[in-house]
Amino acid sequence: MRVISSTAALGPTTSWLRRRAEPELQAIMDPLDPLVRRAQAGDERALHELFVRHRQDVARIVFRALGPDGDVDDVVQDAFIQIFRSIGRFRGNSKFSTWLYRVVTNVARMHLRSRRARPQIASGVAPEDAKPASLADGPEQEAERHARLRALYRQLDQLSEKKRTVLVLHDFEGLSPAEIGEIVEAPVLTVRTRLFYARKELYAALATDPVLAEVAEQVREAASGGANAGKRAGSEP
Amino acid sequence: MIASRAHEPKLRALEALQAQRLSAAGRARLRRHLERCELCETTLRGLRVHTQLTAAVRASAPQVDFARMELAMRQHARAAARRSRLTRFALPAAAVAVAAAVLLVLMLRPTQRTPQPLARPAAVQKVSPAQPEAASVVAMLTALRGTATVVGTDGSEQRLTLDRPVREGERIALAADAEVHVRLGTDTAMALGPAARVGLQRLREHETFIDLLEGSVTSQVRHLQPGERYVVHALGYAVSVVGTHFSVSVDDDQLHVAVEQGHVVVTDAQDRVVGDVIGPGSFEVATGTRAGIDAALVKPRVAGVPGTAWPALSLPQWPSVATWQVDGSSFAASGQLAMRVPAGDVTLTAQLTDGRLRKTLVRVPAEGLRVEEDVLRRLLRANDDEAREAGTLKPDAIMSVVQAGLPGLQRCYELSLKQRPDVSGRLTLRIAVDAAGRVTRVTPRGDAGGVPEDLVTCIRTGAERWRFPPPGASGITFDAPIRLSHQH
Repeated sequence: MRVISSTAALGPTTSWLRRRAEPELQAIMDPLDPLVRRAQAGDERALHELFVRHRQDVARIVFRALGPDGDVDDVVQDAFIQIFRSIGRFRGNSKFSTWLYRVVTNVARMHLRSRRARPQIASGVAPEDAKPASLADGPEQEAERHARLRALYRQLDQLSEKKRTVLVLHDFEGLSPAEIGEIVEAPVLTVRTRLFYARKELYAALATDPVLAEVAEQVREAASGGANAGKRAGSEP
Repeated sequence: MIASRAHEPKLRALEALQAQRLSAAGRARLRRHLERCELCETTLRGLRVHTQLTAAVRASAPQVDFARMELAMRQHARAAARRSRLTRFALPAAAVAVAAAVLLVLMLRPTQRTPQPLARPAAVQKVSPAQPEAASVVAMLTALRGTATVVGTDGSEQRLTLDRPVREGERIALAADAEVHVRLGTDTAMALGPAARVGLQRLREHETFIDLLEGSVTSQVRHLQPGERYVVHALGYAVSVVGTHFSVSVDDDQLHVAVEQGHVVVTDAQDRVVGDVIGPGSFEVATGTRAGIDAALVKPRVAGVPGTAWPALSLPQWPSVATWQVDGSSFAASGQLAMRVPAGDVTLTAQLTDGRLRKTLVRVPAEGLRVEEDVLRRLLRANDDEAREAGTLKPDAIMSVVQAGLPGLQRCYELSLKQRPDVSGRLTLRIAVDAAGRVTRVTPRGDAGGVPEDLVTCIRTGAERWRFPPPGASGITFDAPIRLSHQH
């Protein structure tokens, strides 16, 4: 703990000193996981153990980056291939989880880029079209939820790659701008700016998306109900 | 009304309002503003939708089949480990050796009248660690119809059964009405056609070489990684593949290659490329004739993942049955049929010689099931009312499988676009799903709207691999419209 304080106390003018000291301090503060060291040394079992240990996290990051219609399985696999290939270059200058985020986010971004460039094959199946005579009518909440998420990601597709990445990491993954800055290798201020404009564009698009009109109406009613309740409560003597 | 051109919504304030972080006075002030500002009101609406959808995204869990990924990841880990060791030890050692050789030459140089060429860096080769050769793979039969024999590496010949694994160096010969499906690895299998004779020249983890001496072999190969090879040798040619579904047939001295999906390269004995085929398409090696493919290729049964043995289901020959359809595979009903199927309920569909279909559910225990003739007779007479009773499946369940399966069809469209850059349109697939959720039939409905036949075939084949949640009863049939579009 004292070591961390002393690093922070070096100040911006002594950044060269901090950089020189950092690997050593880092080793004390956050020593490399022995598993990562073994993986870097070419231990096959350690690499596989990395897959087992982090696959849920990677799948979650990929899923949130791509959305419900993404090729999550393929991208998860590609991400691990990339992790295996480049783990030797991980020097421990950041947390392993940050490095993992960076690799996975880049793989997902490459996938999105290639998906945008590809010709589209899509199902024209709307839920009512797909309903055969023998299908059971029941609560359609799951289908609705799926359709809404799809609408959300359709709007996310309209954002630039950088804005989308920042928004997904911040709003869906719950990372702080500082953490995102490390992942996307950009200053915190840049991250905040990208997030601001991403949200601004996205809010405008979501408010007018026809698929989400019902959601908008529901949240409006809920909000006005809450506001009215607030007013009532406020007007009571 | 506030003019939107001059006004920018204050996102921070709206977010604070939504998060209930504003004071009562601030809230009241903002609400008064919202009543007059349509732009801010719209932004707030979008913000609320975003908040709700963000919660939905966070609550959603990805459905990833890690078990299916397991083997591939082990292979990637092995390859990465090998590369890493090479980089850490062999390359530096090689560099040192080269440097030493150069130094040696430089040191010797003044004493020699004529400059000598650099010694061939034999030392480099010596310091490279010997690559351990991958162990040979034991291949399992997944289906066997009719009679086939296997000739072992010691020359002994024995009748092939479903339980008899086949190994590198062995040869398989099939009778004129026989068919054999062999699983060679993850998502990789081959189907040997009637009267086929093949030699299993090499069965390694990353290399499969099949010698086709007679008949045909249809292969389904997973997407290969760099360094991996799957080659069928026939008539002095090598048919190499890059992750695909293809068939190689020898007819007298003619070699015919049909590719349903993927990319195949044909090379001659001098390793010259004599043709390449991007599926769907076919290639006659002797004449160089190219054509489409007339019918969907046989689907070799992969049947389970390596390391697990599915139980065997045996069916007797039955005179009134023309074709058996079991677990997504279709077999002519000539001769006894034995195949590996997942334990549990399996839908058995018999197409009778008069064209009628008889469908029944059989429960296959872990130790396997041999269906005797009298049992089969009873099964085929199972009451038709039950057979007609349709299962149920929610539309969203269908939707999610169709959506998840679309990327698999993407390749068909991309390949088709290479030949006809203007292909686009719609087609409707009628998909029949059995009680266990397996697709039993995919047929295009009505006008395919200008979608070429080979593309339709490719999409059909892809859709046949989809797996739905079990609808129960006798399954369901539904229509799935597919839209093909691209930007020039």
